[in-house]
Amino acid sequence: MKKLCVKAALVIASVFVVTFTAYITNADMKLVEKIYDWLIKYHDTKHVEEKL
Amino acid sequence: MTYDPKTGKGLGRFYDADHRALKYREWRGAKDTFYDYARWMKLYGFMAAELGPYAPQMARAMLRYRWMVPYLTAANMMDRHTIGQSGKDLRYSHKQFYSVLHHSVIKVKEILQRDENLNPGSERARKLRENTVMFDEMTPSLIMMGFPTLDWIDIAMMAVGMPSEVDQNSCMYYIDAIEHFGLAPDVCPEPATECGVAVVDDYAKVGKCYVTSSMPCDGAVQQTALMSRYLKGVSIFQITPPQRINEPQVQEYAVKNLKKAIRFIEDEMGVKWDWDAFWKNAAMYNQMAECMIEKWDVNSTDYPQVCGAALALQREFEFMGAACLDEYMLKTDREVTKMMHKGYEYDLAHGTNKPKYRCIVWACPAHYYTNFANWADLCWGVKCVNDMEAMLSYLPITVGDQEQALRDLARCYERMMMRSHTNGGYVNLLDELWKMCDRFNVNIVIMYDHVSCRNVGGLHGLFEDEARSRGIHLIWVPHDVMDPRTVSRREMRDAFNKYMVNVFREEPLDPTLLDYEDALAW
Repeated sequence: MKKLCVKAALVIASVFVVTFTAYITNADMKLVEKIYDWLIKYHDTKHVEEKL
Repeated sequence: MTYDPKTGKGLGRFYDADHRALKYREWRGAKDTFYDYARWMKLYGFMAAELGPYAPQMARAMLRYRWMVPYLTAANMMDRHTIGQSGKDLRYSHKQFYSVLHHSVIKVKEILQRDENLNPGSERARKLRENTVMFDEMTPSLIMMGFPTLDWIDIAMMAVGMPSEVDQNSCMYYIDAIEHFGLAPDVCPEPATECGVAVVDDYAKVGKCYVTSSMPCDGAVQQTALMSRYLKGVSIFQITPPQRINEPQVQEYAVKNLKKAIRFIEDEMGVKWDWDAFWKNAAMYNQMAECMIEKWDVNSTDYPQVCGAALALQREFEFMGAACLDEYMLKTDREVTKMMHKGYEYDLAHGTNKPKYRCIVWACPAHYYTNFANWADLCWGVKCVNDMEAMLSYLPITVGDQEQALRDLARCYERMMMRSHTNGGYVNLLDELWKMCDRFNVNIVIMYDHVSCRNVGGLHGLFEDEARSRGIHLIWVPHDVMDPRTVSRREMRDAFNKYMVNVFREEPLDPTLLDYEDALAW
């Protein structure tokens, strides 16, 4: 039981360290910027017919 | 104060001219930073829980619809509107904006569930479409209060309105598309973008019929005409509230028009108007309106609380996007109202947080710079205590009296966004401003000068004359609603800076916010 608690505490601490680091360094938005730029480039290369 | 004169560090250090994302997030002290972190986790957790089950459709949507891409930046939207904030201001903003994002995530999920382009051949998606009414951005779905068994999606709000406020770059492609198609470039970018989405066939196919409205401006008229041509095979109804909304003689017509709209939905969708559901939803609408009025009352005092975009954008989406039919938004309203009263009592007792300058925001705002009022507060100490965008219909709907309730509902449509002020004529646009200046005890008006809007442009000189005679500072801030190429965020700030320096002889609270490049930023 004690081992399980220690493991759970370690997992929670690790998740916290990773997510807080991502949060404070704005890593999530920096990653999104790369995906965003890739997607916009993809849309720019698509042939789109303008019609009504 | 977020600027440190010893180190010269201010909020301007977060912006990077070469990148869209902020350099890093702000350390606001342990308590506020961990609060912000917890809210950030909550937002991603909610998005994962709601949209995770639809990951394949989400991936297809990102590749199919250009306007879906800005939704990836939801966390940045929160950061933009909370930067420099701490304590109760940070908490008000988080709660208010989270309710907006909460609603948007659910609507994105509904699009993913039923869109024909994303779910070709799906019987489940088809059944959902058969039960969904589509709306135009400038037509609040209030009428759905009486149709509890139907779903509704504001297709233009989700493709144009919301993305334009999340990401300043989201509309330019669609504006170029419709101009390439032949529309003159001096048309308001809002309807132009809606038409651009149509000509490249980028609207989600999510419903059986479409309800729009008549906006009394040239851009919106052509937008409705083009949308009618685009939505071939879809039945369309136009709610046409009277333009002279203050005259009692027109109200009978307004009610007749609404009754026709109700009959249209009944006939198209094969359901009956449900008065019991309507009373329940009208009561919810009334409670939301009461919360709004309470915020106004507090903001009229020396110690305003929920200010700037946190006040305006939330009400805009609550009324125009969610049609006051979102229980989560009511829950948020109640929480924020309670917090606000507590905050007001504290400030009153301690004499803290009295704004250096008070202002209201008037005329159509720049969608691509929704946090402009936050910037004015942080850079110059000019606190925006109310915003024309928040001044949508707030009068109650009479519960229990069917004819009166329909008159009240018609009044809601008469006082929806654009119609109540910018297109409401001299009395509602010009005279109303001075009443609001008195009520909110302000002598500064951030006057948004939408360069493509003929309606407000036509009253430019009258605004100037009246303001001068009343001793009110009108700070004209030019913009082009959804096209930052015409007037950039930086140029908007520059117009405001010049007034503060040359007329008020002021020094900025944070000099790093005076001039920085954010053309790439979301």
